[in-house]
Amino acid sequence: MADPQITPQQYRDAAIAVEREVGKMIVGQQGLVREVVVCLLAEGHALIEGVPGLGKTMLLRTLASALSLEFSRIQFTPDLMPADIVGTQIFKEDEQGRRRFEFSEGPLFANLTLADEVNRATPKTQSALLEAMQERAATVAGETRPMPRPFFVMATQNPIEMEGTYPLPEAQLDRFLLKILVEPPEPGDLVTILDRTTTGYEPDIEPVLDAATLRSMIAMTRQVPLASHLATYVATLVAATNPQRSEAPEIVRRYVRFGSSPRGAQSLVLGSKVMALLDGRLNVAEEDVVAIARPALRHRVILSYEALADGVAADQIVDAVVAHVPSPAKEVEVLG
Amino acid sequence: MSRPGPQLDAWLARVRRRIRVRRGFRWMGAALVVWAGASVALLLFARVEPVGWEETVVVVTLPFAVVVPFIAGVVQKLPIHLTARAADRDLASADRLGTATEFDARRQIDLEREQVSDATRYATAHGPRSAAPIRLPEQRLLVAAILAVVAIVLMVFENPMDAVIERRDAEQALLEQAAENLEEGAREIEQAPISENEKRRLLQELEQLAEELRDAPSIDDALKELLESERRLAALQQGDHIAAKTLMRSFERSLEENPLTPGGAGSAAEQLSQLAAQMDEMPAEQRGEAAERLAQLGESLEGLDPELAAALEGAAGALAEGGDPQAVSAAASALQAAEASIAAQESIAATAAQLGSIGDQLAAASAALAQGQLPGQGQAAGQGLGAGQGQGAGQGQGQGQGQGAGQGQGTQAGAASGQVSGTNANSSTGATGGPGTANGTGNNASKAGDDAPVFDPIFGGEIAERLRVAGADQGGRNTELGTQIGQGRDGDILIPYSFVYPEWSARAARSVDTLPIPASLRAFVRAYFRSLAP
Repeated sequence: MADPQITPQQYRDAAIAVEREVGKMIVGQQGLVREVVVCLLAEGHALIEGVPGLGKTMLLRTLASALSLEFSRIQFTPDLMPADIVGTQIFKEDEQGRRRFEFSEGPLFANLTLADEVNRATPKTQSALLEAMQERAATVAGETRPMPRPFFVMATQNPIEMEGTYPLPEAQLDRFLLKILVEPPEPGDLVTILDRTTTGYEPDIEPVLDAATLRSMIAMTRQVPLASHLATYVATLVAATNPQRSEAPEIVRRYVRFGSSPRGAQSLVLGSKVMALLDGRLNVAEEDVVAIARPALRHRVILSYEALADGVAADQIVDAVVAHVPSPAKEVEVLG
Repeated sequence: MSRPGPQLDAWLARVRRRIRVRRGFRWMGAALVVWAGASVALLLFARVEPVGWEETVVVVTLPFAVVVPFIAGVVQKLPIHLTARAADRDLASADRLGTATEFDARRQIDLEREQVSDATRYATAHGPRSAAPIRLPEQRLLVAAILAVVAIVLMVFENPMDAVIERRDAEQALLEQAAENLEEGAREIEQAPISENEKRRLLQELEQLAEELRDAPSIDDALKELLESERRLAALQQGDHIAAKTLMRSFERSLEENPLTPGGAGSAAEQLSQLAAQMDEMPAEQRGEAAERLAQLGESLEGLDPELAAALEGAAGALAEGGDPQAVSAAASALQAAEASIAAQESIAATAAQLGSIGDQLAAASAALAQGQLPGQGQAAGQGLGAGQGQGAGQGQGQGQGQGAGQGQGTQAGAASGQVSGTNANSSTGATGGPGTANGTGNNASKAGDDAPVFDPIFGGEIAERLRVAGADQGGRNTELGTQIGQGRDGDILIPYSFVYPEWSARAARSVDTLPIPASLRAFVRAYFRSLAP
């Protein structure tokens, strides 16, 4: 059955409905929810990082509840094997007594997979997950099996308690559309959280978006026009994260070992397109690019040891790059 | 170019016109800041260096700084997509219009068509005035106004460099006058009875010097050029032509009273030629007398022109012994050549004297200018003693005094009011307002009624009174006289002052140029050494 045709207004309404449903459980954190929805509508994977207890898992479980999608949760542990997430061939005997191997799909074969504490699994298992993320398919016993569409992996990781963990390699980090940081709640929000979590509050999360509509929304996201001067702006931003490039500011030359790959530019553009539609516009604006720059680039900027020693964060680098690259709006300042 | 649609096209065209006008104002503001800043810088520079044209430039360039940038800003083309982006900025329309101008209405996909429609609705909801408000570049105009006030203040208050410029102009006028004098001297040389080669050499020297004086940035530089030219002329001077000329004139005067031949007339060379033709017919007594006179002349010229002396002595011998008339004819030719040489040397000396005179005037003028006196205009007559060129009769008195009525050199120094004590080659004194002709009166060094065409401070009425500089005993070796090598002799070697002067003068010039002496005193020192010129 063909996916339904939707209008930009329906797109926006649907996205807002998802945010509203998530908001029933998640207090505050509108930015966090918006960035997760951006990943959803761009069909990109999200890496959510935050200290324990900030509601990362709760957010994704609530999101799954708001979507009529197949959802699976994988708790990553050091003894988790690739077959545990992808699936494996099992030996079966049918009613006629014929014996054969049958593929039993792992939890990864779902529309939305929550990879909880992804950095606790071994690199072997991480690689299996990340290969599936990139290819949107998994190869088991010589047979490639496509993932259901839409396909999202929402991974969480804990920046502390690093002992016994396996930090994701840079090449695998690059496969996440956005890296979303979860900040501690504001005091006012914390009061509300206490009220909801220490009483009998049980929100009723309604599924407001099905897979077909979501696929239509994802298709619409890619149709949003991007003006050439903004494409140039995105390209310049990404180039400026590379210390070898002339566009790079001094802080990049000093503290960055490797800058963003072209995937960073793709993330910026896709994320900006979603932001534009969510803002009720049919075109990407400079402010969309700037708004999405941090989550799209922070995990793609590989800092040097000097940066770690000086306490320089990737977000500072991204901010410096955005401040350094001439804004497209400034280009027309000569006109008065 | 993309065509988003006729409605949006028309709206953007109206916006573009307004943006062009706004750009004109913006560019005008920037140009005014640059103009005002440059004006202040130029006016400040003109207070440390003499410029002279700064105020004119500041005033003349103002209209250009206003009009040209404005017109350029209005006239220069503005692409439609830049117009749309500028409107996006002013309307805060989040790149709606800039994006819409990138799609062709005939080839849009659904979402692009909707985007263009959205942009068109957005645009038409806002008038061109709000999309492109015309605003003056207030900050730039404020900066330009502040700088302009500073510039006006700088123009109103007196510039200390104005006096320097006036002095520089005065110097240039003096140098121009000096160059004209040199050219006049060159015209006189063209009429002089000297060989073409000598004439060409002198004319070239004077014309080159006149050009250098015109190009000289200051009087000091001009004086250096003058000194160099004088050195070159000094190198051309040979021997003591004054003494030779005096001898020749004395001889000719004696021939006027007592010709070599009965009824002889004309110059000495002509009379010698007549003597050669008639010597066979002349009585021995007359020949002997003529021979004696020629021998005396030859002996006198022995130190001055050995060749002529030898020719004359040969002629004297031929006359005394009744020998070959060719020897007399040869003496006549040698005498004629010597007269030509003397004429050439006279021209060189006269030219050198003219250069010295000009140098004195320039040095004096430079000193006067250094004291804040500026030249005026006018004529004046001066009284005094000095050297000059010309003919006249006077009363001889003392050594080195000028002739009676000479062609003097007017003073060029003067006060702005026209009052100044003049100085000139004649040492004339008196009030004068500027370049003029001074009629010097003085005492002739020669005997009463004698023609004294050349002033010679070292040569009085008698040869014996010539001032000499004693040379050192060189034991028969060569004695170096400046750039010339002379034959040394044991005993009292007398070296003409004119021979040693160029070396002294050159050393003095070198010292003046290398020692830390104020410019005005430098000119004064030069003037002093010029006054010692032979």
